[in-house]
This record gives sequence, structure tokens and C-alpha cells, in this order.
Amino acid sequence: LNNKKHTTRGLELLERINRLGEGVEWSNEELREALREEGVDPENLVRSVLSSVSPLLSGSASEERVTLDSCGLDRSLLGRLRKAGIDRQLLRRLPCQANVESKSGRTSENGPGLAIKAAQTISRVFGWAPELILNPAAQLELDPTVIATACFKLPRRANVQRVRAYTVYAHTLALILLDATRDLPHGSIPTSAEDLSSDIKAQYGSVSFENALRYAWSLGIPVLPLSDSGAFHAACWREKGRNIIVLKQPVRSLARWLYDLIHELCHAGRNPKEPRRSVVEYEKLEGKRLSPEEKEANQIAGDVILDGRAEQLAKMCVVAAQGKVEWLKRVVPMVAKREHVATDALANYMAFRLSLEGVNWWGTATGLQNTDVDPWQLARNVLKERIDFSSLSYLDLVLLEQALIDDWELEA
Amino acid sequence: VNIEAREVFQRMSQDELENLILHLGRYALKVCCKYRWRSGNPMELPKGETSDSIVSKAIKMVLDGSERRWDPKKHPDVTKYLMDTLDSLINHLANCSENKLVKYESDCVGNDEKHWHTGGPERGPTTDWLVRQETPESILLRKEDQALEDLALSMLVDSCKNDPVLLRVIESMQKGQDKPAEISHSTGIQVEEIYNAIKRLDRKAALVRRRMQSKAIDGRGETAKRLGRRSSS
Repeated sequence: LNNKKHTTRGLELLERINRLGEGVEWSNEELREALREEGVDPENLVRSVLSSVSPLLSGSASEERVTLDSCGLDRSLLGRLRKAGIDRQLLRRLPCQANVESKSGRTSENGPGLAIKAAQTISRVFGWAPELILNPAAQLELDPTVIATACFKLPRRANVQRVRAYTVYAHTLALILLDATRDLPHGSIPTSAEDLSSDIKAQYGSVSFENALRYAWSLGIPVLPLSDSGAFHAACWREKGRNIIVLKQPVRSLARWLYDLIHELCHAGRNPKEPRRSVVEYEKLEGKRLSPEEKEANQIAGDVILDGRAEQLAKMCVVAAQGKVEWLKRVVPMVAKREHVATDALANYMAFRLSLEGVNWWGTATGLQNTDVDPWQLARNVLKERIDFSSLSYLDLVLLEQALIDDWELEA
Repeated sequence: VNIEAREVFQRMSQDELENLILHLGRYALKVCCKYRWRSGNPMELPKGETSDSIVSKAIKMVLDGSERRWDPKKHPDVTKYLMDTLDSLINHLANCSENKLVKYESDCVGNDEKHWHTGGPERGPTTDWLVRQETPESILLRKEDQALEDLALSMLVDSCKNDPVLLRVIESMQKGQDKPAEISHSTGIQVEEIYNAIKRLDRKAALVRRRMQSKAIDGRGETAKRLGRRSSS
């Protein structure tokens, strides 16, 4: 029997086409074109809907989510956590498991029940057994395998315990993100500035922060943007042969984030046969304290961003400033304009170059940064495009979501 | 606030969110084109709503969870759920008193005829006699229906005359093929090309629908009434 429904009816056919069209994936551009044909301004539609629903959307995810800083943990536990370097700022990033139940209708717990739930989150992030966390006499020591390799360059004045605790937290997030992106393709990372630059240009047209970001993801390297202040400003970890980059630069400038990203990509490309690696960048250090690998990564970052002319441009700046550091602030924008490069990118390279000679010029370079576009948001958007949230457990999911909330939103 | 709904939206990238809005905007417009509106414009709906605002309303309803609680376990596809919400909102607007200037004769027909046509529980020797016989008026309406069908088909074919792939897809669909793989099999065209053809065809069909609407509005006669009545039924 032929059970297919033949039709010569036009309206019926239009309806069938409509149903077929619903089942096909449309790109944003295709939808925009179709809407324009139908007399609708797509930009206006998106703007109007977003502005109308954003109050409901932008309500901080932490609004209903109970975090460990505010769930009423007992003082003794809070004191022990503080000793281990886990301060209030970090506790805001840790959701209390009790919230998982409250979402499904049960009321939030308090007292011992709450402590057990809190211990589950702390255990997931810092690796301590829940019994150890709940034992008031036990001392909480951070995992030495994560921090041993990471803390060799820590500045003296840093709060060592806090930096260590934050490093362990960021490392756990990195592992969660690696888990949620296990299907990414795996590509080899160029190790020279020329190859890196030409690869990015070949795939994306130019070297910009967004293009470099997408390039990193295309090589199978997730990039996790964090927004807390202090601790480190960038990191590159490798676990089971897979690299992950964490960017946490407090200066929200595309040029500074691009510099850090290319710098970390250089670390990711080093010793590809090592299954496990850890480079955590604390403060910008003076040149004499930089390792050869660090110096090379900075040089490559400068050359990729400044099209292989980093050193030449730096010399131009020095000549124009007649060797006077105090004139550089005025000279760098002039040279950048004359040579058609971005002022902030050149300023960053100058800061690195001067650091090799023992001059800390990072503060002035920060003042020359363009902060119109927020690189943290850009990196977060690209991450959300690429991540498979459904592969995560609920606790990992909320940990990651809580980490992806901007710092000021948590304060608000 | 429906936290689960909000988390789903917050997890979307900017591109995904825009895609959802554009998709819903287009869907709302298509659904609106199926109804008759007193404004004469499917983008200007009763109660001051527009096709844009109705999309915002649907998303808000899902996010605030007050009128319609979205349960992701029951309806895992949020896009589908939002489309159903749009269907319901638009249907409600089309049937609201503000949109109803007149009652069509067909609306006054009781359940007896409906049951006859749908094979409802009351069908049987005792109720069959209730079905009305064809009258000169109903014959005229039937002819008008046929004219509308012919018009839609000729407008569609005409708009695709420069695209031989689309003409073959239409022919295949007329034969009853209604899945990309079936159309690909019957036309011998690669299925990837069929997907692209469907998008082109869908855009042509949307334009035909809009033109049919404006023709109906220009006529402001029986055709307009028939289009509205047919769609809402």
C-alpha cells in the first residue's frame, strides 16, 4: 500500500514545507536574511526581546543559589578553612549542595545537615575527605601535587595560603572543563611566532583576541576566563596530554588578554610528550627572575601580536624617547600610530622589554590599554558555545557556572 | 522565577540565544500569518502586541514560571516548548473579542456536523440525517476554497520557477514525500542539498503566505473570511 499522502492542494503544501523547514537547522545569518525578506528587522527583534527579558535573565545565578559564604557554616569550620587559605572571596564561588535539594522542593537544611552538604562541595574542589573536613581537630592541607610545581615564582608579599587555595580551586575548574570538552579535536601547537601568526591568520584572517581564542579552542585547548582578583593572572595546565589555559588578568583589555593567551599557548606547545604540566603565572616578574621559557613565551607573544616587528618597534620607541623612560608614555602612542600597530599591544611589549632591564613599566602600560570591549565576557561567550554542559554532574555544573559569574555581580 | 529555565538560558552563548530569538521570531510570524487579524497585518496583533513582543512574552512566561511552569524533565526541548507557548498565545489573541468583528456562519454550526466529520461518538443512523445537504452557497464556498488552493500552488511554483531543484522538491512533496531523506531518494539529489533547498523553499513559502494574506486583505471579501476561517479551524 502506498500510504504517502499525495496532494495538489497549495495550502496543504505550504503547511508541509513549513513543517519541513522547522526540522532543519538554520544559522543566525540565514534566519536574519529570511526575516528581512519577510519585512522584519532581525536586529530590532533581537534587541527588543533581549532588552525585555534581560531583567529575568540577568538576575544573578547566585541569587537563589546558596554559597558557602552565606549558608551559615559554623565558625570553627570557617576558621579552619581560612587557615587553609579559603577566604570569604573564594567561599562565594562555592555553591552549597543543600541548594540542589531546595530546587526540587525540599527546604534548605541547617546545622549538621548543612555542614555535610558543604563538606561535599569543599571535598570536590580541594580533595579532602568529608570526614576530615567535619573533624574539628583535623588540619586541612592543600594538595601538594597541584601547588608544588605551581608556586615556584610566587612573589614574597603574596598571601601564600590564599594563592595556593585559589590555585587548587582553579585547577579543579580546569579539570571539570576538560571533562566537559573531551570531544574537542586535538591539534598540534606551533612553537614559533611565524607559524603561530600565519596559522591564526590562515584560519581567521587576523590576529585579534577573539581569533586567537577561537584558534586555541580549534586546537582542542579550552580557555577558561576567571574574574576574581589576586592570586595568579594566567595558567596553563596539561592533564593526560590535554592542555587547558586559564586567563584571569585583572586589566580588562583585549591587548593584554591577547598577550597572555599567546604567551600561554607557547607554554602549551612546549614538551608535547609530557602528559602532565603546570605553569601558573603570578605577578609580572622582573626580567632577571624570568625563566628562559617565560622570556621566550613573552618574545613570541610580542612578535605574534606585532607582526614580527616587536623588537624593531621597541627600539624605535627608545630612540624617539631618547632613552628616557619617563618619555615613553608619550612616545609609545606616537610610534604605534606612525607604524600602524595598536598602542596597547606595543605598550605591553615595551613593558615586558623594559622588565628585562629591571624597569617595571607595567603600570604605565596598563594606563595605555583600550578597555572598550570586555575580553572576559568574550572568552566566556566562546566557552559557552563550545562546552557540553549536559555531560557534567550537577555539582560540577554549578561550580563552573558560579565561576563564570563576573566578580562585581557576586558583590552586587 | 523558574531557576531551571533561567539556568538553561544563562548557559546559552550569545549566538545560541540570538538563534533562539530569531527562530522564535520567524515562527511567530508564520503562525500569525495563519490567522485573520482585524489590523490586517500579522505583525500588529490585538491588545497592542506585535510579533516581537509576543516572542518576549513567551520567553518571559517560561522564565518567570508564573503562568506556565516549564518542566525540563517532561519537555526537554526548550525551543519546542517555547513554540508551543507561542502557538497558545497567538491562538488566544486570534480568538479574543478584540479580534472578532463578526461571527462567521460556520462558527454557528453546532456539534452535530463536527461529530459527523470527525467520526465522533454521536455518529450513527440517528444523527446522520443532521448533516446538511450541499447548498448553492456551500458549493460556492467550496469552489472558492479550491481557487485559494490553486492560487497558493501557482504562486509557490511561480516563485520557484528559476530554481529547478526547488521545483523537483515540490514535485516530490506533492507525491507525498515529506522527509529530507525521502525527497533525496525520490529526486536523486544529495540529502545535504535537500536541506539547503528546504530552507530556500521555506523562505519562498513564507513569502507566498504573506502575499496570500495581503491579497485577502485587499479583497476584504469572502476570500479574506475564508482564509481566516480555514486557518483558525
